[in-house]
Amino acid sequence: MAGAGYYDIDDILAVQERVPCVLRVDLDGLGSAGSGGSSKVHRNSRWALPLWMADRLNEEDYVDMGVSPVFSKRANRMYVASPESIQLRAVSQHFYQFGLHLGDLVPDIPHVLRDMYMQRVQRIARIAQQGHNVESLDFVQSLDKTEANMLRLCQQAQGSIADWQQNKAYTLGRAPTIP
Amino acid sequence: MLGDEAFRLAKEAKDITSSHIPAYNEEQVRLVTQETRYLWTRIEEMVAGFGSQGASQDLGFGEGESQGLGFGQHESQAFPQKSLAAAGDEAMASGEAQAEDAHGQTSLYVLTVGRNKRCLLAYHHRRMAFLRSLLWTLHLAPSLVPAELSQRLSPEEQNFAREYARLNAAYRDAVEEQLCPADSLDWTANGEIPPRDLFVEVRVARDCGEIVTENGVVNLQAGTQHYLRRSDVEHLLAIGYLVHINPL
Repeated sequence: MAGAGYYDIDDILAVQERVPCVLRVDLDGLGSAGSGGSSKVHRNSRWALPLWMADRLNEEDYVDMGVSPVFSKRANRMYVASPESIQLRAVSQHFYQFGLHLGDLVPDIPHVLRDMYMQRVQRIARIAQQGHNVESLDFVQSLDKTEANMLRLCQQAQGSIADWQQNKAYTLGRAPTIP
Repeated sequence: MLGDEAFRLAKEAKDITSSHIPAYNEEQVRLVTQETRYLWTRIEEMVAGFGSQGASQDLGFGEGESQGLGFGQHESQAFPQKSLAAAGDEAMASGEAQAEDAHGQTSLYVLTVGRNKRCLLAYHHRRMAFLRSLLWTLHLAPSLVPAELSQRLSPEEQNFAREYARLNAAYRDAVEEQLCPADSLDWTANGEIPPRDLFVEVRVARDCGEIVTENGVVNLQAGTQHYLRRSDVEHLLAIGYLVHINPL
């Protein structure tokens, strides 16, 4: 996973994922109608906040942050049991990055992530080398963004090898930015 | 929810690939900056409210310390969070749950301001990076940017393109003066892939007019093929006016 810098768009998208929280104070501006308005959420009520909000408010003790259902105990057990058949895109599009952020909270998460990634990445590499077929379509559709990127890179590498073999590697082409 | 507008910008920034950039969403940027400004005035109001509650702390606008799990070290605002919590303790001691609410609210606003700022900066940064790599492939000639692309850029970005090319040219001139006053260097030649041939076979896809080579003037008419020095035609290849034919 690329370095999560301040400007990293993937990181920004990943920390938008919601986690369940219990509010300790009344807070305004959490409704879906934008900031302000009459959408005040009262203390001791449950509300799902984006991670960037929940994490810092948790430190200040204005909310109590819980573990997202993405990484609940049951979910973790499922991930360990059958990593290749999980529809990651349905669970969370930024599964791995989100998991990294939550890694401090739930000690199991790093292991779960690593095992899942190792298993799935092997399948991804195999698909990239042998090409798509009908069976792998479901799997490919279930990849999250990190894995999809990896698949794309593998396929690109395969293409480059073919190009080089056909002596096309040194052809000067038009820049990809030009339509 | 707070921060949703900024998130929309972040998603648009994600859309930028190596071959495509969506139009500069001025409206969205304006919305986000508006929300941020509004939030900041609210924060100032609320802080003024704390001061009048007898908390004798001077909540100056110094650099906040960075807290967090290593994401967004810059996300903490110019607002010391610790003194906010300390002021919160005093308020609790005096039994004012409302004050606690206000502190939490202010904290939330501060976080949102930081988030908006981050999304705005990331959006502009991504676009700028795209523009910069585009310029280098065009060999730093901003006039070669196709019209449909430059339509999607804001006037500031187009200005940036021109200024960047100008800066680079000025630097190159200064270096050349020092090192090799007689020659002219092509800085924009691709430094990573060494050139394979000195001359390349090209077919003309679009009319380019005439170019000046070492061997005289060559007329590049659509449909003709030429065997030319690589350095002369590289920029035309990059924008697709010429097509490189690879002899097998």
